[in-house]
Amino acid sequence: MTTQVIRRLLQTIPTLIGVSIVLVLIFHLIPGNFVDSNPTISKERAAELKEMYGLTDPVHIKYLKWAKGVATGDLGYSIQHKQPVTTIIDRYVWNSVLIAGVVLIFSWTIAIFVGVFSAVRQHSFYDGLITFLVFAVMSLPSFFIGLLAIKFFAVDNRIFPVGGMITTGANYEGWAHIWDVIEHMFLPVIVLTALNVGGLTRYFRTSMLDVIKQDFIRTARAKGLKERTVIFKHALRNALIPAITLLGFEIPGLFAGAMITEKIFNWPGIGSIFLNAINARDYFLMLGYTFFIAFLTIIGNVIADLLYRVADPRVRMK
Amino acid sequence: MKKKLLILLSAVMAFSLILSACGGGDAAKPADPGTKVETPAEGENAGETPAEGELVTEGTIKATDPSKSPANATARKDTVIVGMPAPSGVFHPQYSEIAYDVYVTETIFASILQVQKDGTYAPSLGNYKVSEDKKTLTFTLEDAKFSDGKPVTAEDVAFTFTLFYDKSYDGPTDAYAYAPIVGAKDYKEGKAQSISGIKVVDPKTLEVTLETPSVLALDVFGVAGILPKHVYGAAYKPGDLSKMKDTFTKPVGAGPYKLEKFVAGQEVVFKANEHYFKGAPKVPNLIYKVTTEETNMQLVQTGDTDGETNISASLDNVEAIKSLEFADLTLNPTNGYGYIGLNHKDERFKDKKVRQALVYGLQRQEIVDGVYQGLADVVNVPQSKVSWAYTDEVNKYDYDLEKAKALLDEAGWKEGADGIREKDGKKFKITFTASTPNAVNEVLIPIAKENYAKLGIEFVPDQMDFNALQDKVKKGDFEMVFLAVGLTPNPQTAQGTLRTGGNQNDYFFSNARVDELFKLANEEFDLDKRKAYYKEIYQIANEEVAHIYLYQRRDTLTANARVKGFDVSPYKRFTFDTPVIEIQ
Repeated sequence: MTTQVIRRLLQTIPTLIGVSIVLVLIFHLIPGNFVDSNPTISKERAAELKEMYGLTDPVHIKYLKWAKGVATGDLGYSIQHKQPVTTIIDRYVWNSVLIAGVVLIFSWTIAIFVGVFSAVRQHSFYDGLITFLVFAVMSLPSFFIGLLAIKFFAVDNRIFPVGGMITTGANYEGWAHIWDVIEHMFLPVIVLTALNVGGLTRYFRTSMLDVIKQDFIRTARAKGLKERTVIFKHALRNALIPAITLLGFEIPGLFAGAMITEKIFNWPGIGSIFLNAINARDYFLMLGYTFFIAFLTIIGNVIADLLYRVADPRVRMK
Repeated sequence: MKKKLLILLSAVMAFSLILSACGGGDAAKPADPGTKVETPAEGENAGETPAEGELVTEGTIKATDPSKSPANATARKDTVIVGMPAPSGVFHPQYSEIAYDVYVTETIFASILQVQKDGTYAPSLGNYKVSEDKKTLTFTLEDAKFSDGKPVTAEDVAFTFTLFYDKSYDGPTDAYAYAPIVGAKDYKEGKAQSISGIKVVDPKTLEVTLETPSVLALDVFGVAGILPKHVYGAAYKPGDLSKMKDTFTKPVGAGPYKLEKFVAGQEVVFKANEHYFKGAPKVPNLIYKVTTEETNMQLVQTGDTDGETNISASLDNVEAIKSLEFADLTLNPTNGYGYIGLNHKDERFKDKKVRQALVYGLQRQEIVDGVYQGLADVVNVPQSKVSWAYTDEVNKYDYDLEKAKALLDEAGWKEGADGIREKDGKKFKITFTASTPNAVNEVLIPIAKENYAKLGIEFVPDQMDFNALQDKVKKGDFEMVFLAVGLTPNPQTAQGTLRTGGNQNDYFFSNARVDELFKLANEEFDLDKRKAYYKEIYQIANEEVAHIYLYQRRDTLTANARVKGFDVSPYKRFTFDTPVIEIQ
């Protein structure tokens, strides 16, 4: 097992190098740069600043300099924030992780139960109703629903706060602070979960239907096992195996930040920071963060691969 | 069952499509034809008092019923919360670049001069005098203390000024271009230990000697937030400012407030500075809360914020704020203007008559009203109408199709068989480089297309992403382009766009008299004399059609009426009122 882990991790290195080369190339080609957007500086000063930031270097020098930094954990310098890129990511990304993590737990739990339920009762009225609801919620325009939720729950009836992560000016400490954050999470978590749960439910339903029709389930029933045990122990476990891949993809998603939470619910995540970086052409922040996400995607894949080995003996055999 | 479900589903989806179309609201969207709004008739009678129900487009609209203020706002007896987009945490007066970082630094730091409502500078932490040859500026200081209780001295000022010229300084100020101090080059190149042109005369007096007189020096020295040397000195090694960046979230200044807490993306919490030299602020706690455009109005409505700086000035928003009844709304002309840039290197645009015809033949008022529903003015000079240097003694270029046609005829562009004008066998076809998505271009393009077709000019838009457009313009690879530009209190900065070879003059506009006037104006500190220079510059820019000037829109400041004392202008931001505002 250990050798396999090491081998799999070593395999990621060429992928990472490939990704980084592509990223530097692409960002090098993007027109516009941060320095030129300042209208008050002279051409000489602009040239001086570009030189200072290394924006004038030819692309291979740019790459080598940046790659050298990355190897030592330095993703570059954010021109806009005047701070190291890692500092900026660290400052905002955990807020995104918090909300994405909670949404992940909720949406997976709900989706598994709903998916199983509707698979077991395929073609029943409930299945139809759930399918309908799931599609209805999925196809709702997220920004609109977010704003509507704010209007009903935060403005008209002051049940939840309008947005943000903490009550401004409250200075809560300890448990009061934690409760304050939870209170601010209610609305975004509900809306995001509602939007995510749809696709996942379909996924689990299909996967479950495949398994339920297999011979070993009939065998299990024939053995006289309780229906509960058949479904949750034998069927579900097998139905969840393909979901591991999906889980692997969720890992970069955790760190990606969601525009809707940040724009509508004013959650201080990394998404809007990244978007601003693109608009302002904050070269190293764009590059550093994109690379960070690419890195997580690759790691997510590795983890999924390894989990397959744990979950599915058939993979281990090969 | 399945079929029915399918029908139902498609019905739901269709419905949600409609919903999503409603959701994507754009503040600057043109009014739908059904809205009943009386915009003041064009131009002349805009100055008259608006009749009942007519649109107020400028000044302060007072709250009609301050008692409707939400209970939680009214309950905050010692705290004022102002909403704004997120500052990025660069709380250092020499580095802050985005507006919201600047708001924070202006609240924490004090500068020698302070900008007034009309864009002039008035003494604040001190004053300045200019020598006979206009090369030496003498700054004198008031008795003032930093928020840590230590006095503000000329040493601190010298330290602050010196940082601008450091080799590793990468903030947004181009100090050397604005204020070429004697000895700054040597210091930058490491040849000198200090800048010879900065001289501390006594603890309250500082002399700065410039290589050439430059009124722009005031934009560097006058408004620079003064740093306490005893705090920031440790973070400074000549040629290496990397440590300075660790001080960004721990600012210490002589401004009205001191920083208590900064929560990135959430809030900036201030406490009143009891040592503030104009007297401690009346509101003990001040908070800048991060808001987004999607919900900033709701936050005022629920009382989460007492004020908001960033509600876009659309008719819908103005109505919504009025309907709150407890909020004062200030509408100010935005400190900037939109224009159509012409490439003066283009053979056709080298002819002044052609340029003028393009202005006369364009329904600018219709475009501006179409985009801003009356909450913007057509402009004819590159200056804000609230500036001390503004003049309206210029050609107004009211829409005049016949005049435009005549000018084109005179310029030798004759109508061809297909209705398109031509000269020397070349058709008059303009490629218009336009960024998308852009609310102005959405209205501008169809109107310009129609207007110019009437003139016998084919107008072909070429739309692209903004950064791609900027790149094209920088390279001079365009014929005609729509852009907007910001203004600064000092009119001299317009030299960037209008002077031959100016840093923002991507349009190759060149006029010997304008160049000369800018040079004269930069060497003059007397306001009246400068005003005359700028007036002539604006008149030439207008007459020569340096650009096709389009509009100046509006900015808003919304404030719960329980907070009194905001008196802002496009130049004097609300931050300058923080020491004087009061809670009622």
